Amino acid sequence: MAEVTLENVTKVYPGDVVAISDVNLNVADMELVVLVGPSGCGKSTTLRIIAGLEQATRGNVKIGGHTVNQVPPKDRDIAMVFQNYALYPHMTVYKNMAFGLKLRKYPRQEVEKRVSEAAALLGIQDLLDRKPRALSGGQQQRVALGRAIVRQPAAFLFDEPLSNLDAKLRVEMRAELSRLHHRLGTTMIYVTHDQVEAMTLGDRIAVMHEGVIQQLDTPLVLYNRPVNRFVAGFLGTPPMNFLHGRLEGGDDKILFNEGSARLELPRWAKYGAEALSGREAVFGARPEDISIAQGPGAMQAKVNVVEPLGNEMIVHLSTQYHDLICKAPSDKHIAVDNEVSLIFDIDKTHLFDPEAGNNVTLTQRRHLPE
Amino acid sequence: MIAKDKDKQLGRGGRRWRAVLVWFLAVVVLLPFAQMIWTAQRPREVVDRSYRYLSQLLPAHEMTRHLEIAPRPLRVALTNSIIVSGTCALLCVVLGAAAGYAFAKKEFRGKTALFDLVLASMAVPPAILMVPVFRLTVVLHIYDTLLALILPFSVTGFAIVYMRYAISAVPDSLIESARLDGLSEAAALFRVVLPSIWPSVLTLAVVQGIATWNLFVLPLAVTASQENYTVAILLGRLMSDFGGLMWNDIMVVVIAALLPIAVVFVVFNRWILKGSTAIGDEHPAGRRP
Ligand SMILES: Nc1ncnc2c1ncn2[C@@H]1O[C@H](COP(=O)(O)OP(=O)(O)O)[C@@H](O)[C@H]1O
Ligand SMILES: [Mg+2]
Repeated sequence: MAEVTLENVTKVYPGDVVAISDVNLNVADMELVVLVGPSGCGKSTTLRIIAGLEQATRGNVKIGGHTVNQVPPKDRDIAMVFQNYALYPHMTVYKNMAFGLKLRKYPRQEVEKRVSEAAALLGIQDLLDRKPRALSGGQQQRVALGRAIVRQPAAFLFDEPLSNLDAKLRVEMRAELSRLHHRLGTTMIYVTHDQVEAMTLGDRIAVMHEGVIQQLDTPLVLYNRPVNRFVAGFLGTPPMNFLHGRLEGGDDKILFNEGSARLELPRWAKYGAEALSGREAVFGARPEDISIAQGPGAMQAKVNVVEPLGNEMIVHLSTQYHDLICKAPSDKHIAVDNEVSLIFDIDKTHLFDPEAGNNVTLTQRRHLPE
Repeated sequence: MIAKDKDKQLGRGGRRWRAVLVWFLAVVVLLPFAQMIWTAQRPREVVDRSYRYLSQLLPAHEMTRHLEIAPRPLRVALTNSIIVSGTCALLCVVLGAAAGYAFAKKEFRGKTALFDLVLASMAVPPAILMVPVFRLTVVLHIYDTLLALILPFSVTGFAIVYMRYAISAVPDSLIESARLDGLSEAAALFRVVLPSIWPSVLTLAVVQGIATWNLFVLPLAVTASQENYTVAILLGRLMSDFGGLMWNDIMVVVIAALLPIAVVFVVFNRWILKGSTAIGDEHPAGRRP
């Protein structure tokens, strides 16, 4: 068990491809940190640098306080689980799990003990004599987990381990991984492009974009206090609505002019107006923070599509200038093509700089939930 | 399924004609082999008298007698052939895998040009190499040794190209898993990558072994003494050196040359088919990400 630290790590692949730049990450002992971001943002590269499968161009990697930049992968005391499981097809499940231990010259009884313990933990005792090809995807993933567990490493690295499973199994294995983490108490670094997986698994989440960690914090802080437009738009389904407009008014009252309507903003917006270069601004509101009013509201919109999900409805709307998505209770009657008025839970909304994308009022709003 | 449907379409008469045709073709293909065995069993006079004595059809002991008459050259040649072909098959797998691995999984300068060169080498007819190979064996002081028969064929363009495509199908993560488990890169290649594609490896070994077994022109250029004859060379000598052509002796050697190949094919048939279809298939360890 150990903490894992990345200090100013940059990776440039041949052909001047900057995969990650200046990444700083500190994963505490026993913590589960998720790296999440769209495909190609550098998640795997980060993980592979920790594993030693890739050499950092600049920066330091520390595991358990020791710099391991020059240490080969096998001596880093980490275990990795891959998206395609990467089981040895010519070995039985038992041999797959025992292989790493045998190479490390563990005595036979110890190997047997560890393999049977891990197999029991994962419920794969009956599969030990089978070859991987005779297993389902979910079973193969369990074997891959088992192969990592028997090593009792200082840290586990996961690279999209659930992406090849179907939706139902994915949810099951997610819970199982969570259980394993609590049970084993080992440091884990988990890579995924799936924000739901990230939100449900992570003690903390690092949101990556274009090779840079945008924000590293607990799931709820990321959700409620996104530092920039990318983080705000990446977490949450349906994603946050972004409206382009102008800030108007003065000291006493700040208004956001969407084009077809003016929203009155609370006092914190004043700092936003000061932080913005011009008066142009991007207003962000999550679908659950917009509701359809009975009486008059702050903005008029036309209903385009209604998607009933059973427990709630997703409503697609448009104003003259923007498309919007909001959530509504499932018993509400909303007819397509009707004009409705909208109310905003204004204290949960955000203002972003249209160019830099940063959340301009965040520092002024300690009251935002964390 | 499709074959069965066609069966039905053909109807009874059609099926019968097809069976006749298949048997006819089989007889045509097998006839030379039958003649070969038949001739090998004849005493020379009988053969020379154009197989006049039908009563002596298939007396097996005659064949053994021929083997007894000239057993030593044949035994030596068979041993040589087995050593040379076996070693070449093994070396082709080992060296082909090492080179193929580099082409499949590594980036280095001049990779494309080098691979084109390997491809081009496959198009060179062996006869053209006769003089250079001969010179090389002289320079290396291995002329007229078994090493001269092995070294020039220890890796082929085909082996490299074949292993490149076989190894390309192996996901990188399998190799990386092996390295995290504690293997060096070379050990990962031989203990994880090759076993994971063993039908392909076996196929290459068999194909290369048989190719070496059948080589004639180049081995002829680098051997002189009977001690170092392979079966193919012995056969060539038999057909040119001795006064008259002793067809019965020749056919005994032909059988000795063919039998091991037939055995290898029968034994490995199943896996060879697997190996030749495995390329381009999904690797058992899963899709590459
Ligand atoms: N071996 C490589 N050579 C060159 N570029 C690479 C290599 N591996 C990854 N990249 C590039 O680096 C970037 C980050 O890749 P990766 O870390 O795999 O992203 P992710 O796992 O988040 O999808 C991508 O633009 C990718 O094309
Ligand atoms: Mg990836």
